[in-house]
Amino acid sequence: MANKVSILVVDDELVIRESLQGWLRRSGYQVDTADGGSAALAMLDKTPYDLLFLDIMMPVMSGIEVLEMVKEDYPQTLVVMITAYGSVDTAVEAMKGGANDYLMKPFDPDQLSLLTEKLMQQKKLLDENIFLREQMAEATRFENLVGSSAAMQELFGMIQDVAATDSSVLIGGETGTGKELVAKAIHAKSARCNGPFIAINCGGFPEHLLESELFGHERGAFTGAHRAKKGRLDLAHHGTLFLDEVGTVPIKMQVDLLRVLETKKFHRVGGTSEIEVDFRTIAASNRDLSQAIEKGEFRQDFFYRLNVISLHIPPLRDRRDDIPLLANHFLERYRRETNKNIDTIVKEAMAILREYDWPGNVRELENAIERAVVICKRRRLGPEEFTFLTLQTSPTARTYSLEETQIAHLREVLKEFDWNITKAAQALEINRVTLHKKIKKYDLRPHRASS
Amino acid sequence: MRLGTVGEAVLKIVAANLQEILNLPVDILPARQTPEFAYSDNRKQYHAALILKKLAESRRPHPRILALVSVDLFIPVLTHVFGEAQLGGRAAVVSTHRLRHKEEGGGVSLDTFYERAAKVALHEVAHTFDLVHCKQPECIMRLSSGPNDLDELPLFFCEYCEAFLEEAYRRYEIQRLPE
Repeated sequence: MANKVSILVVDDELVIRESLQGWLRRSGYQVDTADGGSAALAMLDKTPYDLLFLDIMMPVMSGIEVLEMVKEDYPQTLVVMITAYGSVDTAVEAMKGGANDYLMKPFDPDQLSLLTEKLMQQKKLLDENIFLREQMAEATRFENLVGSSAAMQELFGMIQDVAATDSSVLIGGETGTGKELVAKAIHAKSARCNGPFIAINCGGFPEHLLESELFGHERGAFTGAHRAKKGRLDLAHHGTLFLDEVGTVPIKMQVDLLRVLETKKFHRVGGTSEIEVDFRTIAASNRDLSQAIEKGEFRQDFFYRLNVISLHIPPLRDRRDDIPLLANHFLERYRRETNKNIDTIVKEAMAILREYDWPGNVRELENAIERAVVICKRRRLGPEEFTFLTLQTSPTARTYSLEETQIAHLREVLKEFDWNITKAAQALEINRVTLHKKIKKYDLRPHRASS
Repeated sequence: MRLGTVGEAVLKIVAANLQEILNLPVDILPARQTPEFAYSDNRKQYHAALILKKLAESRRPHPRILALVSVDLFIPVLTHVFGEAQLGGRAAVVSTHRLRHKEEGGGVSLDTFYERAAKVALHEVAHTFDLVHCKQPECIMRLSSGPNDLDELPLFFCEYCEAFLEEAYRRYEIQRLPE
């Protein structure tokens, strides 16, 4: 019966290519041929061959060289080296280089059919294995935290330890480092793992809405409150409450929240009855909260309540060793989502990824890989898929809005002159009053630039 | 058609089997000489693909041509072949050279020899009708590498290959014998 196994025969001799192709075709395989290494690599770039028959002795590029590249760029393709009679040494070298087997020309038909069968079995197992691993990863979604660097290993250890307790946790780290993932991991490994994980982005709501979002409200509590609504505190009962961007919670509500955290009791907005809840708090912030305390924007008692245990996630640029691991992790995910056959990220492209500073951290890396996978037309992500990272102004970040361009320019110039208004105004060729007005209008502040 | 010194009996038996099992009319063509042009001095064997190429050029009206030879056949990647055919093409060739002996040594009976030749011929001719190797244990299209393997094969096609064959006859507009 016809099967869809695809094979590429690489040999500089036409007769060998033709006769091997003919023989394999009669066994029902899909067979193509290439007369040399570069032709073979170009074909591999487009088609995910299952098996490669590769001649060791070829002019221009030797079979061993081709083997190296194939093993690096297309690790899922199996390779059988073809050697001339009496060159066992090179065959041994090839096996060390990662070839799956070798055959000596001319082959015994028995040997060839057995070997092909065996390799196809092996390939089937490999594919099954990959499939099962994907399923496993899916089942343990919180393991999406990836990193082999010492810093991340330490963090993983901390997560394990912290999960066993019921104390409040404060997670620090720049935007995009995966604070929510860490919170989810702690929840998933804790005794509360069968309860809900309720997340709320405190920066995402104006003050009064945040209040009703957290505490819920009774019917008629305010205009538009037609029905009673449960707050996130309610929903988090027996589970974990995750307060993201906790640094943006207004001072007044910090007092209310502090009380809830201490008594585990609260009132809905417009309600009189007291509701008792049982949850664990995990909070996260990308701001330095101790600075906010000094400025009087964050209450010290609230901070101590949240910060029983603190975890810090290092920015991606401080753990560049994790970049290849993460990049491959995301490649795997988006390859599956887009159903594209993309095997690897080539060395040069990986070098670009490692060099880049990743101000948006892991989230930015993820977006970059997703974008590259979407635009990629071949089987590997090359440097050309990542040119947008090397450009000064990346096309994704580029804005056409005159106003936004103006704001960005003002910020840059102000930063350059260390917020010396006079000098900045001179450089901008506008007068100081105008610059002051613009600063006010666009709410520009010296510290904004860093967050 | 036979090339070189192939016995009359085996030729007739192969022809009869093809006619019976494939349900196709078969002519026995006059014998030709051993194809010396296909001889390889290096390997002391005959290049099967070259013989096929020559056969395919034949000006005879027959849609398929099978040659029976007594010399040992090879294709460049393999040490030997029992037979060779153009997948979906016109020509097939079968060698009786390795069919007379057991793998472990010693000759086989004439009956076994004839049966083996018929099996290889059927297998190769079916390749010219686009059939590829079959995984079913009970099918003549199963790949066999040694003569002992051949003895295990049945002298018929499995139902799948039978269906593929029927389909190929229609596609190639092959006239079958009346039932």
